[in-house]
Amino acid sequence: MPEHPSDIQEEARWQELAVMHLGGEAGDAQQRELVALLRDRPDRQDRYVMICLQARLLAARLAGVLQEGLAEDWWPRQAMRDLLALELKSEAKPVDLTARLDAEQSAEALRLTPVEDASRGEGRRVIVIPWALVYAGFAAAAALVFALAWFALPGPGQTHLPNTHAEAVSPKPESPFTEDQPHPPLIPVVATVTELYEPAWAEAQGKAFARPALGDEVREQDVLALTSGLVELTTRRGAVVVIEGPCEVVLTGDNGVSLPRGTLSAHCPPEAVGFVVQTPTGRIVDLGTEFVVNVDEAGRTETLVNLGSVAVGNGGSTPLTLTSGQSAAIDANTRLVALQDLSRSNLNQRSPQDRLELRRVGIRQASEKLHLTDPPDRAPNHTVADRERVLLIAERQGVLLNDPLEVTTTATGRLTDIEGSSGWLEAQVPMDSYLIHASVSPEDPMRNFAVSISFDRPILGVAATVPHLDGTDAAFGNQQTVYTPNNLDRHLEFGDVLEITHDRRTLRLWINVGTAMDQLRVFVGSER
Amino acid sequence: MEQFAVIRAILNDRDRLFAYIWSILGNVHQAEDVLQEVTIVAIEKCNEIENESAVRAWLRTVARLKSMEAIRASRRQPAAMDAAVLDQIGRAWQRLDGQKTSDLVDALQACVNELSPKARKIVKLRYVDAMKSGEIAELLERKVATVYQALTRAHRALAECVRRRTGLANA
Repeated sequence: MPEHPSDIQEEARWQELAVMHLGGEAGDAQQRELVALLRDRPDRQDRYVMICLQARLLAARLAGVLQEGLAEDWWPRQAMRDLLALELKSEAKPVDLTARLDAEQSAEALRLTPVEDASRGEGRRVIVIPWALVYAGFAAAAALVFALAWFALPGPGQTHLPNTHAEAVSPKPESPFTEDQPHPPLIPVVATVTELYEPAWAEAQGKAFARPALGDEVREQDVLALTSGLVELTTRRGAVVVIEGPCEVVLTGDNGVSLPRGTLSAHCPPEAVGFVVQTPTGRIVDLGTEFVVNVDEAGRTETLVNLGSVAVGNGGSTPLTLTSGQSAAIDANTRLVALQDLSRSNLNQRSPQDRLELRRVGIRQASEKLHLTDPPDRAPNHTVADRERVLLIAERQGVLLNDPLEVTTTATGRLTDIEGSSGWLEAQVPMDSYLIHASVSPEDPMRNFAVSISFDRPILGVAATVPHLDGTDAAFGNQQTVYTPNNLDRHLEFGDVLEITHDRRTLRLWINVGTAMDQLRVFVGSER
Repeated sequence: MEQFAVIRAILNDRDRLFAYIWSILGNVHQAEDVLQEVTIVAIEKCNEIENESAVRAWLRTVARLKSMEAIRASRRQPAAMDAAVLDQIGRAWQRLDGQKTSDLVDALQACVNELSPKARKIVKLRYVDAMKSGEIAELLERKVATVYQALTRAHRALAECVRRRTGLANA
C-alpha cells in the first residue's frame, strides 16, 4: 500500500479516474491520465479490474441487496442460512436434493448453495435447501431468527464503518418490517408485476400460488397460475415477461422462469441476455431477443422468435439457434425439430405480448387478421398493402367535441347501406378513436376479410365514407400523421357490411378489398 | 466446441466478460452492444474454440477486438488504452480467473451490507439506477467531486472487505 503522501494522492487519483471512466464521464485528458497511472503498475491494474468487476456485479447481481428496504434483510437471511446449515449438519444424513434433480438444472434453477462442512472433514458437502422448499418447515424458526437477528446483529445502519464514509448522505430511518409485507424477506425478490389485466388466478390444489397485485414484488420460487387474463412481469435483470391464462409459471431467479404449461412472451434487453425458460421438455436460452414459448398439456414445447435469436435445447441433441421468424418444437419425447409451418401450431395465435398491447389501447379482443400498428407519418393509402391482414391504428384519446359531428352511423345493428347512412356524435362526451385500414396491391386479386374487434368501452359511432372520414380527421386523427382529404378511394362501399353489436362493445366487419382501399374510423367512449 | 457449451460458457461468464469490455470502453451502453456482438461471433465460430479451458481467453480476445472496433466507430480518437496497456490489463484479468465469480458475489453481497447507508445509497444510485455523478450530486445536494470521492471510497472499502473474505490478494 502507498505510504508516501504523493503516492496516497496518486492512488486516490487513479481510482477516482477509474470511477469516472466507468461512468462514461472521463474526457480524453482524464482517460490518458488514467492510462498513464495504470501503465506498468500490475498492482493498480489488478485493483482496476476488480473495481470494474465490482461495478458490474453491483449493477447486475446485487441490485436487490442495494435496494432500499431490502438491504436490511441480509443479516437475517445470512443468519437463517447459517441456522439451516447447522440444522443440516446435526442431521444423521445430509439432505441430498441433487440426487433428485439434474445437477446442473437444480443448481441453477433452485440456487442450491454448497457449503463446505469443515467440522466433518474434507469432501462432505452440506446443501442449503432453497428457501421456498424449507420455508414452511422453518417458518417459526425463521421468524425467531429474523427477530433475534434484527435486535442482536448489527443492521447496516449500525455496522461499524471506516471513518472515510462519514460524508455524503444523511441516513433516513427505515422500518425493517411493513405490515402488508406478504413474506418475511427471506427469499430474494426477482421481479415486479408491471401490468395486469383481469387476472383470474387458479385455485391452489395443494400448491401455494402467488396472487400478486399491480406493483407487487414477486420472489424466487413464487408460482403464478392464471386461468385467464394477462400479467406482465419485469425481472430484476430487465426481462419483460407476459403470461396469459391458462398458464403456470415459476420464477426461478432474477433472469429465468420455469413454464410447466401455458404461453409466455419474453422481451430481453441486453442486460437480460441469458434469460432462461425451462419447460418440462426443454430449455430456451435468450441471446438478446423477443420470443414466445408455449407448453401444452402433453409437455410439448414450441418456441417462436420474433426478433434476435435464442438457443433451444432438449438436454440431448445439439441445440438449435433460432433467429427472427424461426420456430422449433420439442415434443413430449424431447425430440427437437424446426417448425416449418405454424398453421397447426399452438403459436398460430396472438402472443401474450400482442394481447397486452391491444389491452393497453383499450381493445379487449380482436381477430387474428387485425394487426395493431404504430401511428404512421402519413395516413395509410394504397402503398400500405397487406393481403393477409387488416391494419388497426389507435388514434387520439379523450377527444371532447364542442359541437355534434356527423358520422356514418351511431346505431347498433347491421349496416349494409353505408353510403346512405348518417348519425351524429354527441358533443362533450370524451371519445377515443381507431382507424381501420385494408388494402391490397393492384396486382393482387380482390380479398375478403371478416374481422371483429371488441373494446373495453362502448362504441359510439363509425365514420366510413369519404366526407365522414375527412370530417373527423382534424379532431380524431393522430397529431403526427398527415391526412390527405378528398381521397375518393378511402371508404367502405357497396357490398361491405358493418355491425355494431347491441351491447356496443363489438364491431364486426365483412369487407371486400380490391382496387379501392377500405377505411373506417371507430369512436369509442373514453375514460379520460 | 459445441455451440451449446459455448453459450453456457458465455452465460456463466457474462458478468466478467461484460466487466472486461466495460474496463476498455468506459461506456456501459457500448459495452452491452459489444457483449452482444461477441456472443454472436462466439456462436458462429464455436468450432474455432478448442475446449472449455480456452473459451475465456478466446472470448476476451474477440471482446478486445470488438471493443477497439467500437471505439473506432464512435470516432473517439485516439483510443486511450494502447495495445501495451490492454495487454497488461488483459493479464490482470487472467490473474483474476482463478477466483470464482460466485464467491466474489457472495463476498460482495456481505460487504455491501457493511457499507454505511450513505455509501450504499450512492453505490445504488450509480450502479443500479445508472445515474451520472452530476445527477447524484444534484439529488443529494453535494458537489460532484464529493460523489466521486464517496464512490472511490466505497469501492476501496468493498475491495478491502472482499479481500478479507476471499483471501484474494488483488482485491
